[in-house]
Amino acid sequence: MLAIQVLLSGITSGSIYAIVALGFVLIYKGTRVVHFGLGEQVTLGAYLVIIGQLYAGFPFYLAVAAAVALAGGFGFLVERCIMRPISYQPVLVQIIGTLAIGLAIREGLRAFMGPHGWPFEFLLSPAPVSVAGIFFAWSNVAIIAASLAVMAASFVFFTYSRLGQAVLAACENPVGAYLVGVPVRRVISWIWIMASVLAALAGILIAPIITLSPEMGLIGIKGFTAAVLGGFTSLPGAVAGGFLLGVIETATGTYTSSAMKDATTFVLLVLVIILRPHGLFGFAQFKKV
Amino acid sequence: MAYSASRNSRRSDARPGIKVMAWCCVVAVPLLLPSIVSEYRLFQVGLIASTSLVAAGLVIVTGVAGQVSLAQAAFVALGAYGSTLLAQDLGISQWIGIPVSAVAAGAVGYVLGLLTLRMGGHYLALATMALTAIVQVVIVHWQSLTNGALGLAVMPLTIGGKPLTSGVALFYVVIPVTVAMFALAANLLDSRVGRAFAALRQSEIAASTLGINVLHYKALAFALSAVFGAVGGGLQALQTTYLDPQSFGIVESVLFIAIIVIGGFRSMAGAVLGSAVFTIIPTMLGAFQSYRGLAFALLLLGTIVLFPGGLAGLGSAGLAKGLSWFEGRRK
Amino acid sequence: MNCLEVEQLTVRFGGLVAVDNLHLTVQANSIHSLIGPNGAGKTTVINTIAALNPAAAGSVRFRSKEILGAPAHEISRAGVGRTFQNTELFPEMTVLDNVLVGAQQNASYGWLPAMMRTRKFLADERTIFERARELLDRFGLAGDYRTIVTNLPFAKQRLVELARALAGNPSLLLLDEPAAGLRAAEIDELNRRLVWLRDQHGLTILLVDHVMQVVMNISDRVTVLNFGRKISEGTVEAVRKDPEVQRAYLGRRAEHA
Repeated sequence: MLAIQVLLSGITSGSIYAIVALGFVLIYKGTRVVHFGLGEQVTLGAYLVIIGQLYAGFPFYLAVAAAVALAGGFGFLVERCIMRPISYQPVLVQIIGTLAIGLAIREGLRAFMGPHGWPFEFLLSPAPVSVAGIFFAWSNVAIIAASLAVMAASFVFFTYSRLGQAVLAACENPVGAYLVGVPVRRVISWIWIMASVLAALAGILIAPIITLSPEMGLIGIKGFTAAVLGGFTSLPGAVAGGFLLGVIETATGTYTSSAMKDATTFVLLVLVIILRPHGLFGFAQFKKV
Repeated sequence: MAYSASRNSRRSDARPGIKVMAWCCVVAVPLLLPSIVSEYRLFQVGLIASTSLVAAGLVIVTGVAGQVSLAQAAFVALGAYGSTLLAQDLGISQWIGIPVSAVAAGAVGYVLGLLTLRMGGHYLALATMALTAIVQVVIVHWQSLTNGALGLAVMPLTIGGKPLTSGVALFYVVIPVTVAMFALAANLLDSRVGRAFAALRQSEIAASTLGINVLHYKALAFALSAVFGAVGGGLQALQTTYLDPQSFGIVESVLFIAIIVIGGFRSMAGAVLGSAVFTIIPTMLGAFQSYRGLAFALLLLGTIVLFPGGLAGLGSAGLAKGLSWFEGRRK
Repeated sequence: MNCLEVEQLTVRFGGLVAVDNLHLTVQANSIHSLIGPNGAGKTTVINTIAALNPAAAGSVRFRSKEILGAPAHEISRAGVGRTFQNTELFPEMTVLDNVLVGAQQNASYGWLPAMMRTRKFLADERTIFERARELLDRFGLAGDYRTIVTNLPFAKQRLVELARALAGNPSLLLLDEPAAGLRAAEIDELNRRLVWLRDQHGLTILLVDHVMQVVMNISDRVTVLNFGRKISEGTVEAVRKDPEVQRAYLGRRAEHA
């Protein structure tokens, strides 16, 4: 019984990690840069909802819609104004660029919204309900359902829509895609918009479970670990990695201690990095000399 | 970013280390007069100095050797907690405790550097991030040792039994140590070791075919960054007198990167400039204190996109521009 | 004496066999050229000897010592220098700094003596600088010490790379297309230099190139590769007349000289 409980809980958080992982892999496949600030964009998404409710008086769902739209716009601007100008610089500079974006978001939120936590509404009731001896909350169900919906929508998008196909093509082979008429630059903009939307959705889904504060961005590392677990080169892999991480993390937290739970992600990460074969990430392209 | 790591082009047996020390002393002399300078100012300058030591370590490993390191906060923590706990639990004075912690941190740094065999770029950023996070988690959860999230009070430095707690006293400790270590770093960069660091940044392949053991040098760069970070951390602990685990996290590592980017990626002078900006911005903002993090972050973004050379780069670029303008006028 | 002995060398990239069971002997104090159509595996051979590629099988002996499997920096320290097809200079460094990196491999001081500016450090640095300057002056680059290498014309960049490779005092020099991108007059100068290096300094040179003005004029021996396999070997004249070689180059004019 406990095992099923753990599974349920793990799948809940794992589904959110999966969404964040999708965002990471999307941007990486499209631009060969890991967006280290994506975690902060997750935070931003949740905060935008609060801002919409507080300052514009929006009801919850309108605030959510507005937040997602704004997040997409934000992603577009970031790509246009920061990432594109530095796309010709060495990878080190681009990495620092994404870190800087994350820092700016975090500090901006802290400045404008304060360093303390904010309460966030649950989509459905968080009260535990018992079915056949297993405790779960309807809010968990809402999270899992919403996450699955997001992933399904993404899948449909990539498989059946023209823009989705273009994105995949540009990810596989930018030069080839360019030659067959795919507007690669525009596709990259769309990639950033999509990843930002995914991040915002993940933030909105997870905000009820954890305290919403500017520090929330560390979920980015979990999303990244999930992506790494999934091999970092495939979108389905990212999803699988997310669920895997969620379950492992919850299991560790339940069967050992909560302190270990925090460390799980990092230990997993270090293990995968050390043990995985060289070059799968693509950074060691064979340089022709 | 057009700096060469060495300035050997001038003379082979130049002693730039002594020159750096002389320069710093010249700059520091006016500040030695306590009647002119307030205690607060001395404290600020001291903070700039200890921060710039940490930044200098990062200049070596990330600026010159080109290895991204988000582990600097971890090394700072090792120096700060290490020296403080040695003083508190074992009665070992920080005069010894800081060097000892620095050596230990250096060993950790070297091992971390060896990991670069398996990874570079993004993965390395991640691995170094993970180190910082792990160190922070250990500090927070090992409460019996570190007092956990409650933080740890720092015992003051003593000399002959007398505690050194005033701004002036700490100033006289921190500044000479900083100047001395900067001189050592400058000497190092102006040698075959520094050239090897720059070489492996610019072309690992060529470097390896010129007898440079790339893995060893990368590990050495990390070890040196750890030593500088730990010394900076130990000194800063004495200055802030209280250790809060919250200030040794990934964000702080990113802030150190920001400092060297803003100051000028590859130069020691950049480490000082960036640290100065970082320390002074809060005072400049006055009433808008809470925006200091945002201001710094925006400054970082602006630097990356508009002035990749940082402040130090602006200096030489500005000089070059000024010179060419002057040449133009003479025609 | 044989400077370099390659036996049964096989290099694979995935399913592709780039070098197939190659036997190659380079005599000391000679200039040995490795030629062949594009994709024949010539650069791969050089890269494998210099330990930038792993080999699937075979052995490489340099001055009777096995070097296959050793890391690149050890092979360099053993006395093997090389240049690259597309010049791998250190792009942000000056001419002098580039050559200093080449010269410093024979120094031995570490980070601590460097920090403390010991006497050994100063003596070693003096030696390094003298060696670098001597080479640069010899190559006519005395005026360019402080020029950033990417600001140099291509022919001069090539010279800097050659100086850098020589600065470590190698006994074997591996040159990957040293004449590519050079004009006729510059190629003549290159030929003179390489011959001088062989005669005055006892260097052994193994070079890869397509430019026949180099290969035909200065090679003591020529080895021809096609599809990773040796198809001919011998003096310039012998190889030139070999019908195998002519077949390999079918459709291409092999002789310019």
